[in-house]
Amino acid sequence: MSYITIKSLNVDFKQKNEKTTALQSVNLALDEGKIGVIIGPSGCGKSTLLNVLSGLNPNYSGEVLIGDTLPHQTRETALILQEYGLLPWKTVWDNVSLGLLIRKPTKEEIIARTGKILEQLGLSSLAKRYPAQLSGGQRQRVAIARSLVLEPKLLLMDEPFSSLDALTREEMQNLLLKIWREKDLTILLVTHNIEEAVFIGQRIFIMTPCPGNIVQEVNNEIAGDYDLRGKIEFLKICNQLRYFFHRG
Amino acid sequence: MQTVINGLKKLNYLWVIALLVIMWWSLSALLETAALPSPWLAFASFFSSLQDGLLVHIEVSLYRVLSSLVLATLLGVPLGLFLGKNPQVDKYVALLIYLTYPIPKVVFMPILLILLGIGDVSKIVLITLIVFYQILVTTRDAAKNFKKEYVLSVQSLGATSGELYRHVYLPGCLPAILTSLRLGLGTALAVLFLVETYATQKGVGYFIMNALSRMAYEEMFAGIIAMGAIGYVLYLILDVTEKFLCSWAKL
Repeated sequence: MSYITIKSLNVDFKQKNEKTTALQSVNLALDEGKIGVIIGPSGCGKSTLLNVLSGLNPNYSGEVLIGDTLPHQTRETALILQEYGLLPWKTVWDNVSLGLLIRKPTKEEIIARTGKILEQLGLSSLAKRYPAQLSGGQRQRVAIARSLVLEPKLLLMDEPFSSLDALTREEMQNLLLKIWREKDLTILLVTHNIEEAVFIGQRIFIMTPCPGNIVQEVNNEIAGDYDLRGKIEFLKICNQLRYFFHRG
Repeated sequence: MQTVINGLKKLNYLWVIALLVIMWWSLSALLETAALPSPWLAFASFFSSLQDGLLVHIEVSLYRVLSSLVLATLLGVPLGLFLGKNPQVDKYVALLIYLTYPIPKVVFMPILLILLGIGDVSKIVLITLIVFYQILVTTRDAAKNFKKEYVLSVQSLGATSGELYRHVYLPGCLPAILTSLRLGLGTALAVLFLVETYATQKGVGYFIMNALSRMAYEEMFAGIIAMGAIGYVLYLILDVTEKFLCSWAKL
């Protein structure tokens, strides 16, 4: 049985008494410990899909399961948003420990777990800084730390590297792979970047808009290799995906 | 470097104070009227009046204005945050605010005097009412225009509604709340002066008007300096609070 199971998912929005269908008959399955990537053009409902999986949007029809639990009932997931979602009025330490503060373990545990994750991600020296004092890459590391400190089994990421420059983006993609190997996570990442999808995604789900739907799945066995970017197979799969989108 | 900047800032303040005193002194010398005494006479009267009962009036005025500001904050901030967070409720309450906000609340002074008596309560209620609206509207608008990503990111960590107020809405709206308090402070002091000129024998407002009726102009200016000092100290407290709690907003 898959770790993420989505069957016949429909999501409608009501705007000014007008019904808009954001997702229609979406099916998706991802095994535990795998990295899935959802790719598609803007407005195809990628973020809506992540909001359902993270439990933020319970207004849907169809079957959605994380393991054997409904999304809003599980505490195994963590979500990283496109603009990081870091609170500007909290320091790096306070941002990272916030999730723990909400889930209420002991004070000693909060300090120990926050300190450990900051150290693992090379953020210890920045603990007292505010998000406005960090670079884009550092902010993304903090957002990752804030999620990982909760020790999730499923990491959901909504275009996490889209606002980073090319070099930092590659550095963060490598970091994500490292974390995935070390923490034994299942990751579902949304992107509109073809190279990113092929580099990271073991399963690539292609979405089309109006209404949003997954129209094709690609089993990408070469993903997860740090040296993949220069290889001919990598470029081949990128071109296949590019051809798919250009063909419409 | 920071020490040098702080030193220059202090020097700037001294220059401004010196300029104000020179302007006051020039005007008083030019007009040659007892109604505008020189700054030296006014300050001399201020220090002698402090030992001669002015301090009690300052205490009473401070009590009235501080109670009003605290009450207005305790009522306006939670309600403003709630309305900003819940647009469905705000839709209806906004109409009420829209209709009642432009009414100058000071016209209710006679009614409040009749209903609540001539003591401190009616005065505090009137100032509270006026400042409450300013805080309510500013806080509501700040909460309403809040970046959705902050709320979503904390919600995704499993935050309850109460935790969202504590970790997101209140700290995020704090700069706007403090700005509204600073604006409200000016209004509160103006209304304080007005309410202290009626049916009371305590407060700096009464002290000023009493001195005027006796044509004791130096004493009257001692009262004006006292009112200015109350405003300045409260403004300073808000400024320090903002620097302490909202340093992140200036990064």
